[in-house]
Amino acid sequence: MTGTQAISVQALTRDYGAVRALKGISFDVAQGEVFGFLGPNGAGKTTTIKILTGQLRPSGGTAQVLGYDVVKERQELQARIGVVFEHQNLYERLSGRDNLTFSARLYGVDHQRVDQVLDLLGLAQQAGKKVKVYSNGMKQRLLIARALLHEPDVLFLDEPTRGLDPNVARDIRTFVAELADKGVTVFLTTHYMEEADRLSDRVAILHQGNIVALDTPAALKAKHGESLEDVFIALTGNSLRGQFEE
Amino acid sequence: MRKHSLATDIRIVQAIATNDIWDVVRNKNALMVVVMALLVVVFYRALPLLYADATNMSVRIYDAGDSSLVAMLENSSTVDAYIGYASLEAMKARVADDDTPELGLVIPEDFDLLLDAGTPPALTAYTQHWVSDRDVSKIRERMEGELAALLGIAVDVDVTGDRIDALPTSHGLGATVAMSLAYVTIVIGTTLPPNLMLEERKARTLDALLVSPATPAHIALGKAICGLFYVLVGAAVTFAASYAVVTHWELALMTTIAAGIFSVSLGLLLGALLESRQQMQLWTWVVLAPLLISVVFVLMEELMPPVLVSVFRWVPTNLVLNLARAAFAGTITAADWAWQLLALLAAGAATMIAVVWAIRRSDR
Ligand SMILES: Nc1ncnc2c1ncn2[C@@H]1O[C@H](COP(=O)(O)OP(=O)(O)O)[C@@H](O)[C@H]1O
Ligand SMILES: [Mg+2]
Repeated sequence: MTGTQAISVQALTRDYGAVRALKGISFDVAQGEVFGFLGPNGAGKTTTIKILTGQLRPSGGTAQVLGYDVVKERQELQARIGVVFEHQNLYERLSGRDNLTFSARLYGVDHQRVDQVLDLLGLAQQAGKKVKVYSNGMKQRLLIARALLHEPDVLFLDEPTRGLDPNVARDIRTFVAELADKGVTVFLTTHYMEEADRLSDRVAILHQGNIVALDTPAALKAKHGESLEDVFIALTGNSLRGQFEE
Repeated sequence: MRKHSLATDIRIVQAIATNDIWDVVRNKNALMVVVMALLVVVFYRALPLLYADATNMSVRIYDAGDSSLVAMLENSSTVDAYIGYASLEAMKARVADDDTPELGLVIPEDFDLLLDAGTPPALTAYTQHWVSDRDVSKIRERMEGELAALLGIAVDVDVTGDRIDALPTSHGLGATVAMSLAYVTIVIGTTLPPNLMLEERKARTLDALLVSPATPAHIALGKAICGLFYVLVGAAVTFAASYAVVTHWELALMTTIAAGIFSVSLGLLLGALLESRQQMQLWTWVVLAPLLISVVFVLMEELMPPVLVSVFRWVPTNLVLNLARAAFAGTITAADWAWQLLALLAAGAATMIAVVWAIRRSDR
C-alpha cells in the first residue's frame, strides 16, 4: 500500500467504442478522507466508480484501492469496499430485512449485523415490508445499509441524494458525515455543488473526462469565486446547472 | 472462484440458489414457466383417462384354434375386439403399445370342444404392467360379464399371470410419459435460468452481486442449481402422475439428472448470451423448437425417412425420450441405454464448456 492512500489513480482512461469517457485522470484519496467527485451528467463519474470497484476494466492507466490493483486483485478489494449504486438496485419482491440477509450470506457476515445496520439507518420498523412499497428515501437508506453490512474501509456513493426530497437528502448527508467521523474513507460523486462543498475534505471537478481542478473546497473558492458554481464556470466556461437541464 | 475457500464458495452459491428458488415462487415470469410445463404434463397424463372410460373395452384376441367365440366378440356392441395376431407375442406387443388399460385374451385350441362339453376352461388374459390391481379386477369382471352374456355359461378370466412389459421401442403409456419427461426437463431447464438472469440484469441487482464476493461462476452455478431444482420438481410431478410405468427407477433417475444438467446448461448459455426479453423469447424458441419437434419425428418413426430418424435419435431430447422408454421397459440390457446416457452427459458437458466461455467473454 502506498503510504496512507486509500485510493490511488494514475492516468486512467476508459473508452466506450470510439467515445473516450475518461481521458487520463490521476488523483489520490487519503484514508479517512471524504473525497467529492463533482461533475455534470456524462462527465465520467459513474465510469470512474465502476473501475475503482472492479466492475469495469480501464482502457489504460492503473488504480489501486486499499493497495489492491482494481483489475488483478478485485476479489480481495471487493471484500473491503462498500458500493451504493447510482440506481436503486434492490430485490423489490423481498423485504428490506431479506435483502440484507441475502447480502449478509454472500459476505459471510453475522446475522446480528443485519439488525445493527437496520437500526443504524432507521429502518428497523419497516424492515419486514417489501421493498416494492418503500419510498425512494427508504430505498436509499437500505442501499447504504447494504453497503455497510461488512464494515467496509472505503465506501463508494454514486450520487446518493439524486432525486430525493430535500429532507431525506439532508439526513443522508448527515449520515455520511458521521461515517467519515468514524474513519471510513468516502468516495462520493455528485452534481450538487453544495453537497460537494459541505461534505468533502477535497473536491475533484470532472469535466468531459478530465479533472479540471482538485483541492479543498475552501482553496478552490479562494482562487476562483464565491461558490463551487463559480469555480466550475471559471474553469470550463460552462454553467454547471445548465448542463443538467438538457 | 479460485481465491476463496471451498466453504466460502459453497456458502455463496447456496445463498444465490436459495434466493432464486424462493424468488421463482414470487416471480410471475418464472412461475409461469414452471406452471405451464406442469400443465402440459398433467394434460398428457389425463388425456388417455378421458377417452378410456368413454369408449368400449378393448380386447385383443389371440386365437390358438378356430373358436366361434372370436366372431361373437367381434359382433358384440360393448366390446372392441381386435384379431388376427400371428402369435401370442405379436398380440402382447400390440397391447404394450397402447396407453389405456387393455386386455389381451388367449383362446386355447380346445376351447370350443370343452365349451360344448359344458366345462369351458378359464381363459388366460394379459394386461400392461402399469395397470393397477383395481383396474385389473374391473376389466376382468367386465370381461367375465361379457362372456357370460355371450355364451350363456360362466367362464373365468385369469389375469393373475405375468403382466405385459413394455419394450424400449413401445409406444404405450411409457412413451407418453417419456415424452412428458423430455418436455418438462427441457422447457424448465432452458427457460428458467435465463429468466432469472435477465431479471437480475433488469433490476441491476446483478451489479450488486458482482461487487460482492460472488463471482460470475458463483452466480451461474447458483442459477443452475435453482434451475435443476425445478427440473427435479417437474420430473417428480411427471413420475408421481405415472409412477406405475417406471420399471427401472435408477435409470429413470440418472436420465432425469442428465437431462437436467443438459437443459440447465443450455439455459445458462442463453442467459449469458442474451440481454433483452425480446431476444430471449426469440432465441428460446429457436433453440426449443427443433429439440421438441425432433421428438415427434422419433415417436412417429414409421412415417419418417429412416436416415432422419437415425440422426434425430441423437438429439438430446430424444436421448431423454428413449432413455426414459428404456427405464419404463421390461428386461433391458446396457445396450438399450449406456451409449445414449453417455451421449446425453457429453451434450451437457459440451454445453457447460460453452457456458464457461460465454461467461468469461462477458466478464467486464
Ligand atoms: N455502457 C456505455 N456505453 C457507451 N457509452 C457509455 C456507457 N456508459 C457511459 N457511457 C458514456 O460515457 C460518458 C460518461 O458516462 P458516466 O460515467 O455514466 O457519466 P456520469 O456518471 O458522470 O454521468 C458519457 O458520455 C456516457 O454517455
Ligand atoms: Mg452517473
